[in-house]
Amino acid sequence: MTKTFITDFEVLSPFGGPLNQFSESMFEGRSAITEIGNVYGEEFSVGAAGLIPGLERKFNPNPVALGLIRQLLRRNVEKTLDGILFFIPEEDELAGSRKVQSSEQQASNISELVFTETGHFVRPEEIISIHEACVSGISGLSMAAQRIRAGIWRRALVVGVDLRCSPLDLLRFRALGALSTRPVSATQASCPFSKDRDGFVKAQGAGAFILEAEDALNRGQSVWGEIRGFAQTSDAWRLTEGRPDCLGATRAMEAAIKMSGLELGDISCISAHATSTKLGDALEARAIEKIWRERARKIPVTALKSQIGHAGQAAGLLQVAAALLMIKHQRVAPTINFSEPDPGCPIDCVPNAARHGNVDWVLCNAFAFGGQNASMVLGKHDLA
Amino acid sequence: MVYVLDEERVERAQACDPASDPDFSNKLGTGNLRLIDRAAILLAYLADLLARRNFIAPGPGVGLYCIVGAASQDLALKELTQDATAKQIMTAVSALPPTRTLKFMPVAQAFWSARIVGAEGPVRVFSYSGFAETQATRQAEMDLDVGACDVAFVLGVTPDCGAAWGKVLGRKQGCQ
Repeated sequence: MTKTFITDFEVLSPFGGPLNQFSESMFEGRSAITEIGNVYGEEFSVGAAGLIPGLERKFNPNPVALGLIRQLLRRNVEKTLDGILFFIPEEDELAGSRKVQSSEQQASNISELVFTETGHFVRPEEIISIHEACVSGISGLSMAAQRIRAGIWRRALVVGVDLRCSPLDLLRFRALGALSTRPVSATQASCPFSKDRDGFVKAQGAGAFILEAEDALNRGQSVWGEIRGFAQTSDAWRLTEGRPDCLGATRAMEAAIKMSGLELGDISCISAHATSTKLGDALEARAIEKIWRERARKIPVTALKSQIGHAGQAAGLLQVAAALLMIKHQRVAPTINFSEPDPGCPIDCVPNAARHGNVDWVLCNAFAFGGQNASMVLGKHDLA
Repeated sequence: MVYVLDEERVERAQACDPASDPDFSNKLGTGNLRLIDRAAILLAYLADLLARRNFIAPGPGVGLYCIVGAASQDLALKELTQDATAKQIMTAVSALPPTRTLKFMPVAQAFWSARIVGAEGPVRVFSYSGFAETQATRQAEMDLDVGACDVAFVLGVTPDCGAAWGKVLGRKQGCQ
């Protein structure tokens, strides 16, 4: 079985700036959530959002995706790509726009850009578009990794963008009762695992990753990390709620760890989906407790969404970027805004301050509407 | 070795009335039939038909691979709120049922099929394109190969809901 490595990536997040700014902000526990009233007017009834600096009123994901791809392709010496997997909303999300850019058009634009930049042509059947809501990031990377493991692809690009923070998008999420409405400042609104959490903060995000088979090592390619295991399950239960027995989530985590060939004790930390919703966080914590049992409180569980909010389709990519940075710097990022422990979340959520420690293998979780559960194990490539 | 166990196509989906199938409508719930998107109903109907015909029991061994199109987006609401101020959008959204957003999410369309056949294995949603069926089928074959599921439904619907199709893939016991 061929190993799969992440050899390069680029992300755009509410932290803004280059990757070292993402890293610094994350470990320092800064909140990147802003008051949305400053953007859409004081009377706007949604209080907070995580907006990418410079893209506050730009909701068309296509130029952002193409920009990220161009950036990655230009700085990599190796130019061949066997496959591309992307998840970009099929529309220009500018409030009320009827313009729809179908996934076929998006694929064609990406293919054209790749050809222009590299001189290589990617076969159209190897350009895959998926729509898996909040599990898209983990699922997209998993599907690409699966093709590399199977020897179908050697080098792949995974791209995801979610800029859906227009007034219409935010109001639709609020109508579902999913957003935080606590009367606190925007920077404190997202507080995963804390007793006073009441919903998520919608955010923008984007990422592009290059995945390669292990022959990348032979040509001296530097490597960020290895995708060691992954799994996806479904609850087939309710559209907006996870199963109360968290069976789907536990099966996804266990299967990903089993595929990685690691033991439970080998997992250094968990990058939780943890959106700051009452039910979702409790179910994830319960799933972790079910798997790790009495050791559940000893494994650090970090929630990136406490700092940048929930970037929807792109959230998984940002989590994976955070996991790779945690592995590189051997630190666990904090879950900020943690004020009061919730008995329903009996875990160590790394409250409010980053920690130094051995971070060899990180388990990333993502869950989505419709009861989708996806987990992935990432680690240092030079570990056996 | 992966086999196609069964398949079904509905070429003129406009003429297809899943609600007239009492088994199906009872399973989905008559209230849900009114609430969910046409594409989701067609996918769920095909999934149910194939599951019944092949005696497929629900569980973690069932995977689902759906192909859905962009036409299922809430364009009516988008048009209503075009060039509107934040305040006008607030008024327009507050007049609509809160769950309207869910109706148009691709992942929600796959959900109904997953629920009706009890697909607790991988559920993957592909965007509609000329290659999507090949991509979804290949993904199903790979998941079957590695044991992520034992049986896989590959379902698709065109963006205009004019045609729908589905097939069931499985591994035959004892065959390699």
